[in-house]
Amino acid sequence: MKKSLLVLILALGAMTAQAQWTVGVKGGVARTALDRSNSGRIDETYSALFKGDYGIMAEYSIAPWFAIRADFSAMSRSYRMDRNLHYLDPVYTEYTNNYLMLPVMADFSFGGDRLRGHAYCGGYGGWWANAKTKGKTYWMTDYYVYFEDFDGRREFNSEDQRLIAGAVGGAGLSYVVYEGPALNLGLQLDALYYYDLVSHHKGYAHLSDPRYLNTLSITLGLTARF
Amino acid sequence: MKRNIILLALIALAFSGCRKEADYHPYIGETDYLAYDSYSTQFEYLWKCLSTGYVFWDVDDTDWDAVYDDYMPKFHALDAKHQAGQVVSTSELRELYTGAMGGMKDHHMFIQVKNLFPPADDNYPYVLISPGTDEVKSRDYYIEPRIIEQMDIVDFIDGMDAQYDLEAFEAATCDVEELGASVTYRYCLIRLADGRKIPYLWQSMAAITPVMRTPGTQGYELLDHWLRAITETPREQLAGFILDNRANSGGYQDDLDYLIGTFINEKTEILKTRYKEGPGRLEHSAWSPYYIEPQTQYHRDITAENIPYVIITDINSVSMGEIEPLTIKATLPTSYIVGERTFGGTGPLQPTASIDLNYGGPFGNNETMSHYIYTSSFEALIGGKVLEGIGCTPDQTVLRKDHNGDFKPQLDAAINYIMTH
Repeated sequence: MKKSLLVLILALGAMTAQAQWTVGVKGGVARTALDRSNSGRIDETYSALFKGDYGIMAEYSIAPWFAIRADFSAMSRSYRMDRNLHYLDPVYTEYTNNYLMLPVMADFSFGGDRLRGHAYCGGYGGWWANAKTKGKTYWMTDYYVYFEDFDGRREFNSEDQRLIAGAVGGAGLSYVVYEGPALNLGLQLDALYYYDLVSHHKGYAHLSDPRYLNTLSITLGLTARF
Repeated sequence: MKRNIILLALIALAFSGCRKEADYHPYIGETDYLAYDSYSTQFEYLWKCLSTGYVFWDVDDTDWDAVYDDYMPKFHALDAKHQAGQVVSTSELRELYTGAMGGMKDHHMFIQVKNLFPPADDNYPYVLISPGTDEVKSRDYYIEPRIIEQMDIVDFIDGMDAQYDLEAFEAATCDVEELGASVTYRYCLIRLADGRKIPYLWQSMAAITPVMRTPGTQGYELLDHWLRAITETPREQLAGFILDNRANSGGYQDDLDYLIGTFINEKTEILKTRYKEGPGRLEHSAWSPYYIEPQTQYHRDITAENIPYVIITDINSVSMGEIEPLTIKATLPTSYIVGERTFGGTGPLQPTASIDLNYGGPFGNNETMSHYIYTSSFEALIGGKVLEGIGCTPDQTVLRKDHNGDFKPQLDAAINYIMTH
């Protein structure tokens, strides 16, 4: 046991001797779909929307093939609901949910000095910062149905779980554009899949109805490696 | 690389099992087809349907989860009693449902539950609960509803007071086939001592729209006379006008086209509505504005001419009987409300057959099923407030109970207001 511990410490020591930092900014699109039960639903269908994902990243290389990476991003995780009932089919809602996301991932890389491939896996925490809804709703009198557009901030309520967490994984490509004496500048293309493990709808003790978001984020980043 | 991909796939597979499954939510219309085999399953389905389909969870203080925790064991006890061969009386069942659901805020709500295994001598094995009616009856100014008879007006106005007299009087009762009900009207033209006139209308329910679709009928003529007296009498001869909604049991939203649309010059938002957009208790649609367009058949700008529009209400003014004064007050600055705080049933409804429109509204069948729940389909925001359970509070309170149930002091106050404004 003592011997194993000694080997591990020596190995880590050797790794950290090569450690370097990479920092960067990134931006791209996030495609989000809602995952929820069909139980008790009426006629609505949900579809994914593409919105923005912007943030910063920092990576600490422990070995040439392994690094720990953390991002901090403002991600819009948005989706759309459409009614299908024939005389209510103009009704829809676009739910724009803006999250602050903090993924922490292991980065396994491979390839040459300039072009490298990456495989990521890790977890994330997120904070549902604000929400908007936009769409068309209806109101009715005794004889007629009318449709009205709406677009505005959505207030949170006690059913909303704003602090969420989940698993994240994906792949990426990095390319060194400029190699200097003190730092390298590069481009980073990532595709990350965020898989919520905490429902953003709290539900109730005797009637749970969890809803999860799945987001595929594709971003292009500018990185500096020290 | 291959090993990494396999590892990631395995991790993803492991995480997919970490998500919770949803509990079974009965689709609110689906309960029409459910056959209950016990008191506890009957209660559970109704509890779940109201959890998803009740539109007032945002303003109702009922702790619905505590209701489940408190009452489910009691319904299980009823099942045990039945299974032991003992009789479960309808009154026992009524006691439980009253405790569980009798305090809900929806003042339109009516709950009918059948005793699944009634005693042989029970000829009417139904539990009937009306939480709103029970609350209203507990108010200290409650008085039994009664329609306004011809004599209530004629006796009061004709020759009783030197300040005003009765110039014309009409009464009509019309069948409203769409509702399977009838509406009664009293119209009179009150003449003040100075010769000015006050057109007055009492309506037992809000059914102007269907009546006005049948020209030539007695009801049409009566309403036409009231509306023409308001819109065509020269300003110097018109003191104001009165809409009497006492004991008005509600009816058509489209009546607002006449009661507000006649007096506006442009499209006007009078309230907002929203509905249950999902099974979550607070999962509402966006608020949708409800607009009224100016009337073309009758029209007068009473705001520009500063003509008083007085509405009389009482504790038995229900639903549209109270939405009318609330929206008139919110829209027309010369309006004034006299009488009593109304019933408090302000949530618009849709027929049970329209259950697919959203997650809320009436469900079940009171004749063929073991349950029927009549509950609001929409939540209304009037003057920026949800007034369910509160109703319309008059500008001037005059209680019939303070006058031995007499209708006259409220009408007197309405006329006095017009005479002084």
